[in-house]
Amino acid sequence: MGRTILPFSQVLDQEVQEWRKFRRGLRREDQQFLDRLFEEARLHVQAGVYASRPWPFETILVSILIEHEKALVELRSKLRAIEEKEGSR
Amino acid sequence: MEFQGWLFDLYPLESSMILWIKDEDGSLHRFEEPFRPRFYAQGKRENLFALFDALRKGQWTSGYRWTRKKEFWSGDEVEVMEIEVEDPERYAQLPQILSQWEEDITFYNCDIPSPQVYLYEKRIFPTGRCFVEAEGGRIFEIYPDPSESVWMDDGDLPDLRIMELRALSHNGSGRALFLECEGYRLEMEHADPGEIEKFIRQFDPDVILSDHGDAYLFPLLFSLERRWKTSISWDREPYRVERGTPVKGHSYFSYGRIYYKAPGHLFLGRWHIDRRNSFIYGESGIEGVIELARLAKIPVQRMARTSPGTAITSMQLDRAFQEGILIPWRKGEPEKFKTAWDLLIADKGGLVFQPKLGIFEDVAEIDFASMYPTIMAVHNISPETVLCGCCQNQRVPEAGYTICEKREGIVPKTLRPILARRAWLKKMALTPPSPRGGEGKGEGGKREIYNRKQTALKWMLVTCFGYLGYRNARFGRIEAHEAVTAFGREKLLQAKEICEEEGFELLHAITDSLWIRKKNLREEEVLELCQKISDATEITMSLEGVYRWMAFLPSKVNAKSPVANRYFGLFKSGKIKARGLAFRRSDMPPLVQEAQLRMLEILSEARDRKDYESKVPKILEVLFEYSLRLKEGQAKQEDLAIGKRISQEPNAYKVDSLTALAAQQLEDSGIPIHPGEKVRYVIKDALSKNKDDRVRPFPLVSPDDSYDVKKYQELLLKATEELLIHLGYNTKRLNLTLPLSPSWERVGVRGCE
Repeated sequence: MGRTILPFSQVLDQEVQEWRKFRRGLRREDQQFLDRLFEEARLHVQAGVYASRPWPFETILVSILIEHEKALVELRSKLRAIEEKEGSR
Repeated sequence: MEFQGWLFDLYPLESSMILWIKDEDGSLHRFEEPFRPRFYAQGKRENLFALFDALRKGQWTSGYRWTRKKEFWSGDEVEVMEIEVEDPERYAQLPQILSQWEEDITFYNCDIPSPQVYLYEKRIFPTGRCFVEAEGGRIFEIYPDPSESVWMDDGDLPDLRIMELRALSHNGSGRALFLECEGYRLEMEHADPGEIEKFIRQFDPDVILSDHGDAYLFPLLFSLERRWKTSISWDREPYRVERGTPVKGHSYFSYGRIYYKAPGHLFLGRWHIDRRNSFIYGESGIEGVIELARLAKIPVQRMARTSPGTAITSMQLDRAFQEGILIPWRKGEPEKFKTAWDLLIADKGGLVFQPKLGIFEDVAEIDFASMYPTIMAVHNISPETVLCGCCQNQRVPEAGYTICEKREGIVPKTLRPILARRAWLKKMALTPPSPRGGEGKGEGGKREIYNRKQTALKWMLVTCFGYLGYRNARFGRIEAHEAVTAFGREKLLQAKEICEEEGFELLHAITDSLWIRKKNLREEEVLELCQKISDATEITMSLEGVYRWMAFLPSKVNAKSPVANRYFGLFKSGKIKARGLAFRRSDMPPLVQEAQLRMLEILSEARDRKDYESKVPKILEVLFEYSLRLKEGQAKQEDLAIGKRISQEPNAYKVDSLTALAAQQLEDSGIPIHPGEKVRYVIKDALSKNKDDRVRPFPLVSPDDSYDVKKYQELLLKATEELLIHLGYNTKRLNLTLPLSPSWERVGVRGCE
């Protein structure tokens, strides 16, 4: 079946390009974290496509936040598990 | 005289249409019918009379009449002048002379190939049975056998004498020729026109199946004929017909790739099909070509060389013709003005949910059957029904376009029977052979024929969607295209929601397929789920299969980032399904493909994820074996060939990629290569300072050319990594496990320090 290229993933690539100067200004060890943020946004491209909001950067930020929220929840529950283990000892 | 038979070939010649019809005994008869195709003109009467006068003076026409026909976009009846053209040859030239009148007059039905017009008019089709009333080879009447239809089970191939023609390239000169017909073979060191003529006269084949006949063999043979001042009876015409100067081939762009199409060499009264210059033959064999020729009413030889898109367009033209709808000349309808906001909402493709990475168990894949064509059929999406102007319903999701409720569109009308036929052919292809006959050759062969035909239809359905959005397509309109994808997204989201309600987890989804997971998933519950989705979306959702295990691979650039088109898994049936792996890519050398296939074979015995892990040592063994073969110089050059399509002229490349260098070497040695053609080469020394030493293309490779062990080793490691990455083996680690590898030795030394 014919697949059409996703315009939103192109929008995302464009946005990454626009942050190139900012990235260059970062310390080398920090650059990878910026890259990772954009990679996280990529995980939710389909929602961006479907929503087609006029300001793509908002969509990118919220996509990144979703991944952060997921990480936080996971870390919290792991931490709780460790604390409970220690508490019971 | 009354005559009965099936239509083998037809073409215009001088003022007539020539038809070749095979009777029941298999003998071929030539008929001719003077043919006067008609076209239509609409405008002010005075302008139309002026047009007719001019055409009559130029002997283009001798008659006209007034008639009423339906206008395509509005569906309204309009008065038009129907003008009869003197003969098919003049009809073919119409587009060139009519353009000067275009300002005042609208033209219809004036740019369709004349064999197609003839077939539409007579309602007959290639390989279809027909009745002929004729006198001395001249047709008075021809009509189809009413007991036959293109939608019936037409069973086997018609009885045809097939000759094979190809070059024997073992001596490299390319002049050696191979002919075969009915078990008789003729091999010639140097092509000899006299011998070929004798062979053709003796066997009188109906079909010549060639390899590279269009691009290479026939140009060579024609030039031999001229040099020997002789002629071979390729055509069956009683008198010799001069061959026009052949058109040049062209390169074109489709679905993200450049292709090269050689000019066609068609024969009169005999089919020439170049297996290497036919997309449809390549996909679905001669059965597929004939299937489409019948449905589309396009002569077989032309069908073999054209695209499935031309076939579906011809079916729509036929449909319009039968319903008295005027066929617009070129495309007149511009895209309706849209604001930037509308564009943002509407201009999107299918939805892709990026896969979760890893190896999973309890996975099912479910697919919508022919999603886009079914959407067009179910929701009446057609260029003339979307934004029709007579209804107000804003039915299209997201975009809110209205779809006509009063008229059924030409696209859905054409598609519906194709969809039904394909579903039926698919069912027949899957029907197990009757228990009494066992797995007889006949039964299996029959299923294969059904399968080829359904594959040909699949391509037609796929291109139909593409043509809907193609500005220059006759029945295209971008808003109709957008409506289809909008419905598609809606249905995929509906499906996802139903899956999630039923407790399935979405692993991955792309346009019309979903991969879902549930602990201890059972096939019956997935089938129930499919039924629910089918009911809700009006599109059949079917179970592609349940996987024992399934792996989604990350992108090649970033190991953490998922991509849609790289995955593999083992169905419960024991079949592996894989996309984007090395063994499927032609830019991978056969040696690497073979190694990966052997590794997959080992994995096809893994019953679950744990079992998968236990296969690692066996897979590493295969890696060692092939790696050793590479290092000891045992790999054959053929097995190291890397094939890549070039996208521009060899000398237009700005970067010296290996592919560009290989193409340039070919060009420098006088072997022409065009954008879209493939160059095959061996990597000699990728980092050599001398560019000429980096690669060597076929056929310039000589037996003493060595190869770049390290480079091929890398490819082998990457192919292994694809299968083991989720178990923690990347190329680096794999390289370290290789016995006797230089890096292993180096690590060893460092370890001692």
